[in-house]
Amino acid sequence: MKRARVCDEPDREQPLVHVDCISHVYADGSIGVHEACLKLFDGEILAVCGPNGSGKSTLLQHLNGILRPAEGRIIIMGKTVTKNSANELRKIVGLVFQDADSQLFAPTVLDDVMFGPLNQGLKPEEAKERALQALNTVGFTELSKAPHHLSGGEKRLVAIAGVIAMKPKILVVDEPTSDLDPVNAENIERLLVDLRDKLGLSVVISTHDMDLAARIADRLYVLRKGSVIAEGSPQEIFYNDALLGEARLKPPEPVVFYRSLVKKGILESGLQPIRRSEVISLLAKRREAISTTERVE
Amino acid sequence: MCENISDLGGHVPDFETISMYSEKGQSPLHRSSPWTKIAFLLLLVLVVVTVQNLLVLLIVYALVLLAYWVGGLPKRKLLKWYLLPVFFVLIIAVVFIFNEPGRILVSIDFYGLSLGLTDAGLLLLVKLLVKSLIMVTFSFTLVMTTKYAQLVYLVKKLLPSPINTMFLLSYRFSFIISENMSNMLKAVRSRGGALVKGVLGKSRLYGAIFATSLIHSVEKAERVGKAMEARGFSGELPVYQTPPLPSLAGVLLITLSIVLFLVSYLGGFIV
Repeated sequence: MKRARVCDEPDREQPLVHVDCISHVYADGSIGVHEACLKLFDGEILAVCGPNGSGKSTLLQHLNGILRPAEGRIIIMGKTVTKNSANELRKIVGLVFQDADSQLFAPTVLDDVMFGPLNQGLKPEEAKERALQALNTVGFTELSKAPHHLSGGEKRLVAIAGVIAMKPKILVVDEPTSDLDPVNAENIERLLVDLRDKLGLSVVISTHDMDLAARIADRLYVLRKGSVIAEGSPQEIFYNDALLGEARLKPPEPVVFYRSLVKKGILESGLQPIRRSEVISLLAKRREAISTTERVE
Repeated sequence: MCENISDLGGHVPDFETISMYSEKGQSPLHRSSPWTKIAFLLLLVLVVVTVQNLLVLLIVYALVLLAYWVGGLPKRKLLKWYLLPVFFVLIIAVVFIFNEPGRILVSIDFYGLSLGLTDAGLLLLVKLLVKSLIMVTFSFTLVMTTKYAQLVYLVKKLLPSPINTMFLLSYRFSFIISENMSNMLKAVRSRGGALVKGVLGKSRLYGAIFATSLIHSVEKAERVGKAMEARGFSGELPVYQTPPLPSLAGVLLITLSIVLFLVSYLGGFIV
């Protein structure tokens, strides 16, 4: 695990996105992000974690050029983002907002999903084709429905479709499962993994839901008061109590469960499972080992 | 088609209903060219500006109502929506209708000031009302039988940039503002807002709701704007549906109407 200043670390490969120590100050003087550094590599799911008000949304909006840093720079696929290249950037990085209602404004679902491709200069027939493909990918078929009549989960699906219709290389989703019931949250979660696995997208999510991050993220950044305080693998982050305490975050449920099993002497320490399935697998192995020993005895 | 009840009251045009009819309607008017409808709108503007004959105005109003009926649009809602234009016409007409030359029907003396309502004044009021209802009814017919995508095309053709984009965004944002006010009214009513008594108390309450809604709407419009920008919007709304050109029947109908209007106007039959 690295503590801040991750920009100085040598890269294992060329990052798709390199947020190089950016700072953002709002008009009222409050600091949105302070010297934040972030790298996203091809094909990974990256989770930006932090409590409410830690600067996650502000940081994510820089990735799409909606916000421009007061200091620092953003390099996307080797090119530094400038004011003039923001439109090009939007073809590469798609941003789904936390509040889907802010994104959906057209009178029908199809019109709304076509909006992005049309802005890219596609002909209406091509834009429609793209929109239908995107809606098919997210599994939504009610094309003529008014977006504001959809349920929260449906709105989120349509909002994601509106962005993937633009065929971005990188998908940035702000709080993908906030305000959703468990079934809808699971659908969105599965969709994000599918988009990475089947369409080859690199995904960045922001979340304060550590269980979600544990289930889908390959790597995590932890934010506190606008600064990146740590970066690392789920194991490195979720088994560091001091760090989680500092960031006002709670470890995911499987980690808590594993620790309780270690405390009871059922499992040995140091294994560091992250997902529920890993804990169950460890338990099964342990049971198998016990039964083998009993048989030998 | 189900009809949504506006939380703002039945007299406020319900944007959800308007949107639902414009996007999902299947009437002959929905299928007709928006160019024909725009041409009729312009002709009606000329009619209400020039025609002073009440009988002619009533015939035109009946034809406009017929168009509304052919469009399969909600009739009861229209009656409720009339409340606002009628209210505004009455407020404005008060200035004009008194002391018009003619036979006095009612006279009021108020501290030496004499106000007389004459038959000519009453006729003026009725004409103003009919004229306003003609325009209101046809405007609703136009908006509720034309898809937003086609409206985008028309506005972009008829108005210069950036006025066209401002107009179209204002049109869509009015839906957001209306939804915002509805939500706020629901929240206020759920906390006993409907129990507030007295004109002053109600005025204060609704004033506060309006002001807060306005602030919320501005904030929400900013977020919508940001989200549009994130999807490549750079100030020009994309046109993605070319409306059908006027049919032969449509061209003949509008030509015949224009000729009829010109002949009647120049012949002095309708003035």
